[in-house]
Amino acid sequence: MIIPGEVVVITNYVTIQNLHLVNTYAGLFLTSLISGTSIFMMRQYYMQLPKDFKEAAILDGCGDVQFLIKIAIPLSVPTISALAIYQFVHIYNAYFWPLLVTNKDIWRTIQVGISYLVTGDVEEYGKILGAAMIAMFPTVLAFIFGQDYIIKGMVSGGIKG
Amino acid sequence: MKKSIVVLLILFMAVCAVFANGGAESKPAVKPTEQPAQKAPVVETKPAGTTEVEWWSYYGKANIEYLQKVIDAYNSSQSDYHVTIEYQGSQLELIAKMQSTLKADLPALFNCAVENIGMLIPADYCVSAQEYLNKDPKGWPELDHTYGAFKAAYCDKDGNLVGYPNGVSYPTIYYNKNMLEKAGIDPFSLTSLDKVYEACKKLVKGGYCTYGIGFHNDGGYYFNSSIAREGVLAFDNEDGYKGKITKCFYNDGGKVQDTATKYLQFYKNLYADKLAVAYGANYSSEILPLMASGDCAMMMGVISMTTKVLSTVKGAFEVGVIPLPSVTANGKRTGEPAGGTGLFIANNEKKWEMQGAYEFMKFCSKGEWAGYFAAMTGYLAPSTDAYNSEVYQTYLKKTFPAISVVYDSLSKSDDSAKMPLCAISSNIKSANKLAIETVSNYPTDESVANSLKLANDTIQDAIDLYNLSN
Repeated sequence: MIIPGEVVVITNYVTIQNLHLVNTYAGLFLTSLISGTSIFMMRQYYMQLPKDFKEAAILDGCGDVQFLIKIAIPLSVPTISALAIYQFVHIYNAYFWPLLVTNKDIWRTIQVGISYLVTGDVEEYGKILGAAMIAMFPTVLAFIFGQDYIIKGMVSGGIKG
Repeated sequence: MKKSIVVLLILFMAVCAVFANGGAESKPAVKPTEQPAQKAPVVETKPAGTTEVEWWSYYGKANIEYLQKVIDAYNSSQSDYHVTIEYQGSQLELIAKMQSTLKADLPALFNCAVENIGMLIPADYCVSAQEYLNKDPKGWPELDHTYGAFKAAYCDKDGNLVGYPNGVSYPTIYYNKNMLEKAGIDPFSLTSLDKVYEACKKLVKGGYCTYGIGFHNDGGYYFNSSIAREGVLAFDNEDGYKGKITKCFYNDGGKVQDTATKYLQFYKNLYADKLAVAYGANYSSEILPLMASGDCAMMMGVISMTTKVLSTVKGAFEVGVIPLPSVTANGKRTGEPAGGTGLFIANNEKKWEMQGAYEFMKFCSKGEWAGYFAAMTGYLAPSTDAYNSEVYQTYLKKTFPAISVVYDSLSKSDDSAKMPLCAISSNIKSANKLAIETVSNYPTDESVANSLKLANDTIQDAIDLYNLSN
């Protein structure tokens, strides 16, 4: 979390290049599959899960993986949902990474498209703001439909015992 | 469970490390002086079929639409090459992509600002157009009609053509002609910054306007341009044209320091007397509206802002333009510092794509198309062919007749006002800009001396670091 994205963008780009994933959808999302923030928040959540759950599960013959799949993950749905929404908004709004790994317009995201409207000397504010409004829709919808999960996720991570 | 997860994680990281160690990246970095000679394409018959030529640009939507017309005309005029243009972000983002993309994925053609030409010359992702010109049996007639100052700006220290101007910008001062006439100021007498200061004082103290002048905030470029207009070389080895730059002369105790000090004192005096729009104001959303409303008399900008200036002013007054003044009255003022964007051939090691890029550069330089792009955008016509084209003459007569002043100056100019030729041009510009910002915010003599020293030290450090590693 303390490492800025700009520090790892070079190594990520070199990796994507060597995997020949430039100008592909996989190149756009692959580096976002793992997030230090998400790992940290999920760890915090699982650490505050009562140990009684684990002990009861062991007594009933549940293994570690089964415990994870059948008990821990279902309990952490609000936290996972909240994280999913945060990650979606963060990745959806990304500008530099999609610009870097795509060279052709057909692979570009809407954020790059908005910058394309800024010519430098001729600024069409109407079009830029209109495009920004359209770009906002998915994130606004995500917040509207996921606000319960966001609040539950924020709260559940903070309660102990 | 924990142990197995740890083992899995270690295995995953090891696999990532293997993939990250690509073959291309394991080659040792080659110093520019040790680069193997670029293989110039042999003039031979192109194989049948159409070769795709990709052009990476930082032009936005409006300019790309104009360029698309040029591209369509080229594509329909022949079948050997098919050009497509792709937006790649801002100037710096495009350069970053060019530097980091594998050669096989590079385009054949790209745009770059002329003041960064020093960065392109030693770069292994750029090929000099001179190599193609030398082997071109048809030659490039439009080159001979290109304005000397612009052509020189695109050459290396040996006079070899590296690229060609595509959107020629030029530092200038826009002014409210009606207001200056009322105040009894002859705009063509504003040949030095001292005279600009006096004019601002007259305009503001005389109650004609609130601000005498506003500045486009690309201060680093105007600093270089003003020094160039003065006829002073701020770096050794003739600003990099006789050898590698090793020394910055801002604090040399001689003419350069004197000129640079006077340049900063211009800003100090303006801001101490509150004669100028706050430095850093956005030219488009802040300075031009002030000009349109009559609150600001002049703006230092580049000629590519013409369309924006005219559309903001909307005929409220007659807009005039004068070439950038020199720093002092004794300035040379015979050179015309070029700015703007050029076309360069990228080294993607695909010879027919690169050949196609060269052919397209030649097509773009034709009078009709260079004149069209200049007329649509407000950039300068790069050659007399473009200037004399019907579309540009119509623009000149109907849209902005005042711009003929710039061409009069160009026709008498020499190529003495060139930007320093070095790979750290962006460092120089940043240091210059910081000096101007500091003096504008703290307009004292001490601030001028300290800012100049800081700029000198910053630039010298950048030069030393670059020379150490190259």
